[in-house]
Amino acid sequence: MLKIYGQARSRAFRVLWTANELGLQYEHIPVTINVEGAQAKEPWFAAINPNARVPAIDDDGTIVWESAAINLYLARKHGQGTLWPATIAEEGNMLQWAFFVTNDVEPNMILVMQHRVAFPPEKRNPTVADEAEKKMLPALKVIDAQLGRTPCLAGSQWGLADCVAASILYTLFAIKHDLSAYPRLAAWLQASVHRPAALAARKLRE
Amino acid sequence: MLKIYGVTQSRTYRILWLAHEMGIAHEHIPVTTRGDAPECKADWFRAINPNARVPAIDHDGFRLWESFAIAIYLAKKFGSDLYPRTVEGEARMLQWAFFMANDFEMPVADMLRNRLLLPEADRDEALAVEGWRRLQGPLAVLEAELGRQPFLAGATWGLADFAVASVCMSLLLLKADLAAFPKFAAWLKASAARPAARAAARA
Repeated sequence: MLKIYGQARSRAFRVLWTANELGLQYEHIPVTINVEGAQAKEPWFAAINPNARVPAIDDDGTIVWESAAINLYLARKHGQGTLWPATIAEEGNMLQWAFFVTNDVEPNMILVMQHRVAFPPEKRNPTVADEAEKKMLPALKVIDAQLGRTPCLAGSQWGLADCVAASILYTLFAIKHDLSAYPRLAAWLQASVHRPAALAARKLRE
Repeated sequence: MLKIYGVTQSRTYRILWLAHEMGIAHEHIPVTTRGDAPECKADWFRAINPNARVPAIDHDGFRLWESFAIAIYLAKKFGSDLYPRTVEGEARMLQWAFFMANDFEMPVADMLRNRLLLPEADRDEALAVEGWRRLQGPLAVLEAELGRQPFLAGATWGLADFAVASVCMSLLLLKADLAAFPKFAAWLKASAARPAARAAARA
C-alpha cells in the first residue's frame, strides 16, 4: 500500500491531489513539521527522508521525496494514457513547466505567503514580500502567455504539467493573491483547484 | 541537428557537458546573458524561450528550455546509458534533480554572484555566507547518500550524478571548503574530471 507522509497543510497536499487524480488508494501519515518536536525531525522519519522534509512516500519499499519527483513517479506508474505525457517531447514540455515553476515561482511565492499571511504579524516584513512579488511577476506572465497559446500548460488536455504547476501555485489561490493581471492564469488555476481530485485534497486542509 | 543556445559560462554548460557525455553532434549558439544588450532578451530569442533565459535547445524544430528538462529529455530521446533503467531509478533521479532546484540553485547562485560574478562594488558577502550556511544540511544529505553507494545513480555514474554535479561544480569554482563532506568532495572532483566535463568547459 502506498504511504504518503506529510500533513495536508504542507507540500504533501500536492501529492495527495495527484494521488486523487490517479485514483490511487493510499495511507496518509500526517507527519508534522515546523512545530516543537516536529515528527519530520525524528530518526524514524530521517530514515525515510534524510532531508527531514515532507512530502515523502513509501510505495511498497520504494522511497521517494521531493513533491514533484513523487508526482512524476506516481503518474509514470499509474497515469499512462491519462496524466502521463504521450511522447518524449511532451514529457520534455511537462518537465520544463515543472522545473520552471519550481525554480522561478515557488521560492518567491513562499516568501510572499510567509510575509503577508503565514508569519505572525510582528515577524512579517512587507519589503521582503513586495520584492518577492516583483521577482515572481515575469514568471507569472510567462505562464499567462502560454495559456494564451494552449488551453492547458503543455497542450490541449489538462495533464501532469498542469497538475504539478497548479498544485504548487495553489498557494496563490489559498492566500487570495491578486491575479487580475494574469486573467488566463487566474482562470486556469480556478478550474484546476476545483477539479474533484483537488477538492478532495483541499477538504483535508481548508 | 541539435542547437544549444547560451554562453558556456552559464547553466548552458550543463547541456554542453551532457551533449559531450552522450557524443551528440550539436551546434552551439553562445547567446549572451550579460552586458547592456544581452541576446537572451532579444525578440528572436524570446520566441525560443519566452522566459528569456539560457539554456534553450532547438532539436529539429522542437524547442525546450529549463536546463534539467533539457538534460532529461536529451538523455531519454537519445537512449543514453546514463538514463535510469527502472521506474524507481527514474524517480530517484528526479528526486535529486528537484532537490537541486529547491535546495541548491538559489544558495549556490547567491555565492557565485557575491563572490565571483558581480563587480566587486556590488557584492554582498553576507549573502554568500548565508548561501553557504543554507547548503550545510543539504550537503550532509549528499554525503550520507554517497556513503551508502558509490554514485547517486547506484553502482555507476548516471543522470542523477550529472544533475547534482552540474549544479555543484560551482562549489569547486568557488573553492568552497568541502572538508566536512569528504565523500561528496571526492565524488564531485571525479565528476568534474570526466573528459566530457572538461571538453564542455572549452566550448
